[in-house]
Amino acid sequence: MTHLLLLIILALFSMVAVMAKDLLRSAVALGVASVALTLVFYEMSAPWAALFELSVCAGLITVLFVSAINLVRGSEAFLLEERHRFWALPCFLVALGAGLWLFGDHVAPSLMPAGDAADSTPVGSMLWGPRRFDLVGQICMFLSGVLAIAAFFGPAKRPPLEKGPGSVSTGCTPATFDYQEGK
Amino acid sequence: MNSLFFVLLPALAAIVNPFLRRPGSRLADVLTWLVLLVGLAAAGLGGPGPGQGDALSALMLATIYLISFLVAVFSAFYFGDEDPTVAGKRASFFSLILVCTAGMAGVVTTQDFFTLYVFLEVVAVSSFAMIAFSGDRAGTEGAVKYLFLSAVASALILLGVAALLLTSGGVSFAHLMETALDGTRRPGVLLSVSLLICGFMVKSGLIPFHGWVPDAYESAPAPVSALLAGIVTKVAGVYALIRIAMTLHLPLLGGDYSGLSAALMFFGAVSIVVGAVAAMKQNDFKRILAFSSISQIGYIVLAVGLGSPLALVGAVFHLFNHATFKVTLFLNGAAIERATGTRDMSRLGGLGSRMPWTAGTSAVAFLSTAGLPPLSGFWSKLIIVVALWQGGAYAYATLAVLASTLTLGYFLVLQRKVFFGQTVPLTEDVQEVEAGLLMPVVLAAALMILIGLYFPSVLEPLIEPSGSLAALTSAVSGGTL
Amino acid sequence: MNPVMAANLFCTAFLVFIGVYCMLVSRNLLRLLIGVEIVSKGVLLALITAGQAVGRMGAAQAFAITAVAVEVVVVAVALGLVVRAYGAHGSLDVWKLNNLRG
Repeated sequence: MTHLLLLIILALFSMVAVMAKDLLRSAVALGVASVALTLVFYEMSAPWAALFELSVCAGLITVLFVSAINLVRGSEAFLLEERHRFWALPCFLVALGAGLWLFGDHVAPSLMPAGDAADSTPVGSMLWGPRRFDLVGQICMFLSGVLAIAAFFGPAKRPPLEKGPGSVSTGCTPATFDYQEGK
Repeated sequence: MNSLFFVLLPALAAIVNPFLRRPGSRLADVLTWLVLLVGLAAAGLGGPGPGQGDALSALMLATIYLISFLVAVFSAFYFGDEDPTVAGKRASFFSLILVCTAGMAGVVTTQDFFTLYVFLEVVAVSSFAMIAFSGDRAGTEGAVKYLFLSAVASALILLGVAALLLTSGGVSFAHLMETALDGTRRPGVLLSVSLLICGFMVKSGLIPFHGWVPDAYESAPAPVSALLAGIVTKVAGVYALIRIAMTLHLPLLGGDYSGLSAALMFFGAVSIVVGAVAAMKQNDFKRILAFSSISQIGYIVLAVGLGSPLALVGAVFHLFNHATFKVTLFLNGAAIERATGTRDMSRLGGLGSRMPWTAGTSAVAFLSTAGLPPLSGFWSKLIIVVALWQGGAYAYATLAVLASTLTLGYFLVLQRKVFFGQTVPLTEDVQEVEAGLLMPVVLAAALMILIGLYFPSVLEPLIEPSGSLAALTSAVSGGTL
Repeated sequence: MNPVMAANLFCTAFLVFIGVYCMLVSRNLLRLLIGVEIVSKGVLLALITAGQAVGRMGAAQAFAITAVAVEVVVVAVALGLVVRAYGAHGSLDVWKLNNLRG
């Protein structure tokens, strides 16, 4: 019963995140949905996944979103979107629910779990044992993330030109990031 | 050589690179070249050890390191000190190339789908960064489009991994194979494989998921387009499709998975035609090359869809060949843009006399793409057509041949317009670009010619990648496994 | 299929639908990213559900943890890119991203 309640909260707040007019409210709703997902994971006896989901998604990603939203605050930054399309979402969801309910039996055979794969290695030994290569992948991931951010927000200066007088500098001005007035 | 080596070597160099930054120095460039050369040599000498990747992985590794090396050499000479694209961030650019290489190496040496996903994300993130490197309007636009489609594709792939975990109890290639061989689990395998294939199709840029390809290729800095078209799209999408086809051995279980096979072949064929037709209507040569890439990847996927051993050999061979073609064409395109200042083909003409090396290597690449003997492209297309014919897909085989003719047609028109004929005022005083920019394309063109000429002796190392498929085929039909 | 698993899969389908709908309908780039995040949540739920169904919670949690770590880097880079795009274009409107022809 709690499980069902948590799932409902999760879906509900995701819907709110999409339909909210104010982006900040969307980000907060996303954070609440993350907390709901954390509790769902905990209830499914996945405590470590729950922990990561809480600290990273509910925490870090919400903070990132809020910072990005604040970075682009400007008169033009927020548009009048077609609100009526967003309000159509609950109708679609009801239709989806009805469809799944009616045709769920047809889909069920393709979701038969494999019965013979049970394996109770705990997460830690799993991550540092058979899935060790994924950790190398994570390292590469962080590396590429750091380089990407450095590429986006790195120094956009042009090195001093050593040419003689009368020379024209090549290329155009690199896009300077000026969030006061856009460009 | 441990497969870890191929991933960690470029990654470590990428970490070291930013510390070598000094204005006017080229240390970062040289380090990148050295690392990539070492990787190439290691891949050529044996590739990853047994159990960590088979012969297909070795071939892919060699291709990855080769293309990355060519692009790195070109970039070093292309970006002068004053170039606004890399001003002040030069070391980061080369580090990104290295990280992309590390990610791709991870993709091709792993034995299960989840690790594939992780390294695929590494490749994706470094691609976004490289496309938007200059921070201008075009670059960020192309990168944003690629970003969102790539995010959808990654979600699809991860959903497929979850479905695979559910229905097979594991996510490795071996798990998929076991489950596929067990006839009772067909719906589950179909679901997980369909999800995976949809994701990889978006990553490869097949119709109808090709929306991001022309914009991303066009707006990226020139060497980045070459890297993307040359190897990233292929490793990210097509390699995985080849792996799935090999794991499922489509022709064997022909009856069970014929739907998947037919779908793949259909999308491949549609991509061939739409890519070729759309390419003819473009004026910007980067967009022409982008659509041509979509078309050639259609050939590879058509062969993969058929799934017979010969078709897979053709697909792998064409994958390697196409990498060499596209890298040559994009790098030459960059050279032309550098020399003449425009990418609009309607304004160019008569470059052949002014830029002989560029014209020559482009001609070799065009003709090889169109499948003219005795260049390498001819052999790979021949294998694909023969495999299609043998497999009973007569209509598709005819389509492949006709599309080749179409490709030859418009490439000849392109060649004539841009390189032959009279010089127009714009190209009157154009100079050939410097040797550093030419070295990579000459190397690639030489490869195309040599592989084409010495094809019989090249076939052996290429039969191997599908050899594991053949061995499995005979084992299963012989009743043993 | 037991009811809990069915409920979880229902929820996954809903989340993926909500996320994709958000991506299709929004004009604001940041809201598009929120859609991507919601799809991610759905996929994580699917992963853990699958793990519970086959009895491999250790592996499933390992996958979920790695996927979350990967996702956070992708989101961070995506946000950085969107902010940069805002700097270059002056707006966050997806419909204005049509400078590249065709």
